[in-house]
Amino acid sequence: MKQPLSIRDLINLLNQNKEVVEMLFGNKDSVNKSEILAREDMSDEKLEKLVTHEFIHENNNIVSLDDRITTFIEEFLEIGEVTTSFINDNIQALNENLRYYRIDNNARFLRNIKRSLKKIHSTTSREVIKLHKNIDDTYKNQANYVIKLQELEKYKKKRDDIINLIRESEQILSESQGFFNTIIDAELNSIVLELRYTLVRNRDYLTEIQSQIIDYINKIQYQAAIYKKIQRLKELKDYEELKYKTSFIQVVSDVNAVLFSKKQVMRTRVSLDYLYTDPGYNLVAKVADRLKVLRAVERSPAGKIALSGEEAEETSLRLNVEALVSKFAESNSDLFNFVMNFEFPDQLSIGIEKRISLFVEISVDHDPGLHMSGEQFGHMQLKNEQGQLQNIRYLMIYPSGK
Amino acid sequence: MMSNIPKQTAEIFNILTKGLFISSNGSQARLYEILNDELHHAVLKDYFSHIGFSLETGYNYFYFSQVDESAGTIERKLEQFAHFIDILDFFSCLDSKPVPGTRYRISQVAEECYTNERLKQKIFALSRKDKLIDKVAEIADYLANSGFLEKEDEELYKVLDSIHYLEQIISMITIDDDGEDTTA
Repeated sequence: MKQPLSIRDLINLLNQNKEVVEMLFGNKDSVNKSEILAREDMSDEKLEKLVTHEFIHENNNIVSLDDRITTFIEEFLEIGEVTTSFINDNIQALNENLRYYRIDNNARFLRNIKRSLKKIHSTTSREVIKLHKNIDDTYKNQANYVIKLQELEKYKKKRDDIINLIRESEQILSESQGFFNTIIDAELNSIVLELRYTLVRNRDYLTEIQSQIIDYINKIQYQAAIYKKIQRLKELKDYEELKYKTSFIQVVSDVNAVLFSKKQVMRTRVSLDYLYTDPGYNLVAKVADRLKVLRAVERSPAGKIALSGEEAEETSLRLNVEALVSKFAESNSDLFNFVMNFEFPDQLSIGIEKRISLFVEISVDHDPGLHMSGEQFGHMQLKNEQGQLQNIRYLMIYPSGK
Repeated sequence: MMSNIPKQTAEIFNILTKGLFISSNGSQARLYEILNDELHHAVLKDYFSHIGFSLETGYNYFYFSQVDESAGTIERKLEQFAHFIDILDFFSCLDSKPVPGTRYRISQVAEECYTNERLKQKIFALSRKDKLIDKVAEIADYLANSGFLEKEDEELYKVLDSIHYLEQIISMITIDDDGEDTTA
């Protein structure tokens, strides 16, 4: 049998079970009876007592906190659902007591008026703050787009409701101002003044909240649509329909962001002016050393096309080549015939094949002094050392300037 | 005249010519501030235009564009964007959506894939790496290298403002009406 509770009993009971209350408040709808009973600080009798006093309810083995307690905690901590009914109730109470007081100047009614005014003050501020918290939380934490959108729409409507209640309160205040003036009560005056100020401030706050809600809703609608579209495009892509059923090719072809261009490799050349400076010279020397170029430079005459035969012969021959080239420069002949018909000293036996080598050597090594026609060719037949007949086609090369 | 060109120009140029973005919420935010400055922006836009790059402004980000209509480029664009569709499809199916500021922890995403068969299939199609976590890291790196994510630490990636660029292109594509609601 339920015993009536005093305030003291109520507070004591809450205090004795504070941990269970805290836990049940945190996990709405998901705590089962055995879980509660497993706790150190809980026994069958205690649970029974809480159920008897309607602190908690038990349904299908799930234990939950009574709504009145939940609401009480939420109200005090300024969390939970935004509700406009409290503001509304207080406005109705204010209206009633104003009416009564006009009929009967009873101090009790005046006390009620002041209490209603104070409550309008506190509930309005509290609901506005909760509204803002909830909007932010919904936008940042609600994972499901559809629910997120609907919740924001709901808050948008609540915001409108609160604005209307503020207007209503302001209306009552201005209509009753003359009446308030007739009441000599310093406290009443300061309460009214403070309420007016609070209402204006909250109205501004709500305007700000309004633009934020709209901004959030727009973003969500846009993004939700984008994600839906991405998934649809992916679906079309998987069916190989992307190219045929959408403007994909056209749109993406027109996109000119560098992201989609071929990666450009920036290549620059070495500055020649830099190479003439001291650091430039050092750099070149370093590279040359690594490539062993300098050693090659030291034996610069080498690298010419090697002719067969003794090394001594090669040396003398090379000396002759220089002279041969200058003689050729003065001649009117083309290089091939010049080399073929040149009368070398007797001690050098220069055969036809060596002469051809010589022709090639001169044409490669001395090309600045030569004029190569590029198109004109000469022909001749000759017998090589094995006595075979060969057809030779050679480029007509003349001394340059002729 | 030349003295008006900010000293960070080379740095900006190097990032943008790689096809990357400069976003307001990334680590190059200071370069973003320079580009967002009205005076600098005008100078640089003009400067870059002379060397064939158009400085483009997006919603909280900048990038370069360049007209190149060669067949090879167009083909590459189509291929690359088709790949982005695959990746965005994957990210848009995750619990937290790829909006600027979203942070993805590789191990968390991998865990989400592990418990969600649909996601698992998608990630398997995207990456050939052996481990689930490596697969996620591979595609996150791909987006990071393209300038849409930024690596904050070993396995934390942040979505940059430049993601709007991909959203923008997606929103431009029209789909033939086939009864599906795809308005965006």
